[in-house]
Amino acid sequence: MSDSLSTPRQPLNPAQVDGASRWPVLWMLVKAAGWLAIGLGLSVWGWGRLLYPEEVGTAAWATYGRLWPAAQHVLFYGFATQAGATLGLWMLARLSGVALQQRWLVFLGGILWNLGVFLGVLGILFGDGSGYVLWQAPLYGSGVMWAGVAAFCASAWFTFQQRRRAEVYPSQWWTMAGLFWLFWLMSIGVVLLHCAPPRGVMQVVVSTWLANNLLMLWLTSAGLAALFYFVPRWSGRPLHSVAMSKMVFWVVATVGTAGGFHFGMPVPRWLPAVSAVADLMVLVAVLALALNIHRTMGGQYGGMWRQPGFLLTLFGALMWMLVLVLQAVLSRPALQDVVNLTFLTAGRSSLWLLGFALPVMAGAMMYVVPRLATGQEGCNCAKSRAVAAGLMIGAVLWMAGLLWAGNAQANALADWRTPFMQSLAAALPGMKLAGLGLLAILVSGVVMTGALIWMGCGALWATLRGTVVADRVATAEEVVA
Amino acid sequence: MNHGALIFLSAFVTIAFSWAGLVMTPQLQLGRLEPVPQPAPQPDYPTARPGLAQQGLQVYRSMGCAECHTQQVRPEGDVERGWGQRRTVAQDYLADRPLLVGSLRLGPDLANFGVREAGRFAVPWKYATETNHLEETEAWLYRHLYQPRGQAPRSIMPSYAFLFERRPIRPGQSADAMALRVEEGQGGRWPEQVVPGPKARALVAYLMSLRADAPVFEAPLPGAAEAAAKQSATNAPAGGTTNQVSAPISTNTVSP
Amino acid sequence: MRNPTPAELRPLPEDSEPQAGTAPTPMWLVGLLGLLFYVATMSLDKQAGRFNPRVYTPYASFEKVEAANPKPATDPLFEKGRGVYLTYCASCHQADGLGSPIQAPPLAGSDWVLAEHPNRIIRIVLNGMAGPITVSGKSYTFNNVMLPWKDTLNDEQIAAVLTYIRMNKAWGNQASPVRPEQVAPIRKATAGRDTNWTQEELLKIALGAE
Repeated sequence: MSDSLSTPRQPLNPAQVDGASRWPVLWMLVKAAGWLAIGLGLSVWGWGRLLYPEEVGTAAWATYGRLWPAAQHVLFYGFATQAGATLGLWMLARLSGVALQQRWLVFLGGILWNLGVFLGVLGILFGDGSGYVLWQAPLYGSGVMWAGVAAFCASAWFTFQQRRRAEVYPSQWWTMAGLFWLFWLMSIGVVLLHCAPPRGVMQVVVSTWLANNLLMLWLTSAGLAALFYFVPRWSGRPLHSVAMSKMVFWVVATVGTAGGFHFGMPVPRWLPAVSAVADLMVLVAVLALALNIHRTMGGQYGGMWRQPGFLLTLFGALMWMLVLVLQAVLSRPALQDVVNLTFLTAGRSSLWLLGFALPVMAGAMMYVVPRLATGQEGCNCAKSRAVAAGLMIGAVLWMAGLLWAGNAQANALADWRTPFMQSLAAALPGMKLAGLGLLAILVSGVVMTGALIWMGCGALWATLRGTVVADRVATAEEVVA
Repeated sequence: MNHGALIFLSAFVTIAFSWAGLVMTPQLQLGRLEPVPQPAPQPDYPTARPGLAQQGLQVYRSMGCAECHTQQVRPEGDVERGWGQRRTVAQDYLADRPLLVGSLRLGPDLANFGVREAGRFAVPWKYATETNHLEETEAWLYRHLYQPRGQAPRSIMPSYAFLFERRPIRPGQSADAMALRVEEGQGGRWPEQVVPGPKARALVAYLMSLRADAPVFEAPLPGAAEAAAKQSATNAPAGGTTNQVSAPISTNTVSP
Repeated sequence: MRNPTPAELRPLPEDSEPQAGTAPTPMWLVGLLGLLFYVATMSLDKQAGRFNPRVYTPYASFEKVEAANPKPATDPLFEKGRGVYLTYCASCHQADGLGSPIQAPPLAGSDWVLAEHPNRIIRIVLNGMAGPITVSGKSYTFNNVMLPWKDTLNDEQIAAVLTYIRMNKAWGNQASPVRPEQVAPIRKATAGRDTNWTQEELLKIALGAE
């Protein structure tokens, strides 16, 4: 399939692109925000149940063992992946200078995706959860989601094929690669964890590889695509180096995929040995990203305080780097006996979700949703600042709490003579601190969701009434597709 | 330059390499593992779980027990804690689908629960009889599922009382052997008892079937090599390993 | 409020998209990647157990796992033979190999068992035995017969159980093991036979003959 650059056409201006992508993107971002609120609610409820277990009388679906997996499913698939894929499509259209292609596919994908998330969360709450980290939804949920992802990938491909700019910007290849990886990963999950599970400990191998790559390949792609787009946009300066962005891509794609296995898992030792070196080498990507952002900003960070979305995006970037440094430290073979199976390692997916994905996506949504709904950019009002502060403080408390709890557990469990219950008692204060962080995130997330839904509904209402929303966002008819 | 093809190829090649190295290679190495022969007359290890225990595995999965409990014995410390005689290896898990080894220990490891002594529990207890250890452990387990903080006051395990049923005790009947509680009838009603429901029985059968202590090459029992070397120098019965493998217990230990 | 300096950050105007700069990757970053790659290979040398699927922590290599495993003290067929013996033979010949006066002659210290070549006892296992028998000087007469095992046990099992009774130190037996390749030709040679052996018939067959 050749590029469409043999007869170059003028790239559409952003207003025209937004006019075309408006409804699919708005609708899915609003849905993602809705799932965020639900996911955070389930998380807080589940975490509360963990800290304060009820006496006799709990229902089956209200135990931690079901609430927490359901919450992780909703946060990862309902919010993070949906927001990431949608933002990726929006950025792809903008950077390609062309209207989002095959919008009906995006709509179809969105319907399937949300249906799959919904079926999945119900399935988990009522006992069909698979037990695998980040792949809890039963087949009737994950299979439907998988079909939705296929639709997103198709639309992304068509949009990229029709691009009208010669240069390819990093966010475009992060989005394309990320969606492709997501599709592959979900195929593995559907086929090898649901339909035809391998025998014995290979199930652990497949599920560990899958969970690691859903974070390292997909979530990283979604987050970094947004990062590379919004940091230059908000700072008004060009991205410092495409070459360094490529380095991040290649290091993450070749080395980052090998992480996730721990010493002590019932697998031959070469697997955790490979993971340990992979986690170390990924630090080069961390450095490359840090340098790239720092030089893009020119070392001037003053302006970010005026824009809550910008602050959130940079905070998310910082958390990505911190989490990878933490992973590198914890995967040292000498430490593994002590830190494994505590919150230090088991908290990984929630740190990625609440520390990296949520701030970055939230920051991006603070730009995109107002832009598409009302034609204006995000405001620097008190509500946005409060939401940003809440999300950041909450993420810091969550991370600090988990590190504290995990460290206490590790110290207690390191000596076999220490009774097991002591490790639990030692972990509780850290867990409570983490719970406070989760509450802060919940409140901020709900406020943000409310605002975004309000904006979306406002836009819909205005359009139905025939009111022209803004002259900066063209209507679909004006777009030469 | 055809960027689209280049991006697709880069993404494809990188994940294909990762897939080949970290999923296909272990599959080639571990995918055809067979159960390990044991000293006669024991069957090869592991055997498939009996039917009720297999149902119990589904209950274990469905309740999300793997969120807090692990089923992997590690070489350092876990053996001394009484959680197993040796570390777990790939062969220990051949019989299970789905396989939930867990990732966080908010509760003790369960890989050898079926052979754990009362004194090695997280909150140690003592057997009341000499001969009924299995039944006592099962009864302990039912009580633990019903109300964990009855046995372990600082436990954060949820109460699984919804796995139990209330049944009336009709006139002329006595309470079930597995009844956890018997309550007097009020206002002329029959007395009621709380007994384990089918899911509780299945879960307990599964937990009592958990053991990973058969000797395997990859995880010899500590001291086995030295003991064998000493043995062959004497006149003692020749041959075989000296691993102390206890006689196989019936794995279907749920009382009728 | 003062005018913002050009160095301060202001968002891009709405009608433009982010641009990408062309600064090169610093060489030290590439060098660091190379260095980490080198460190990685060193680490894998030490930690990966040469990618052998039978090596788990805490053992660093396959040799260490082998060393930690107990060595089988005798022929590998011995343990298998113990299983076969306990399952099929012990009911008559007893677990201690001493036999019983009404059922079976002893195997412990038996000159039949300890003969230099096992061809006669292979025949006994294949086709069974009937009638009186003299074992190590003592005569035995039984009312019952030893059943043929040729249809129940394969060559490997027969070789294993004969290895077991011939090498059983606890019984005081110390003879050579029996290999399945020794059983196969005898099974073939006696394929048409469907009656039990008697002592006279067996003693006519030379030791060491097929």
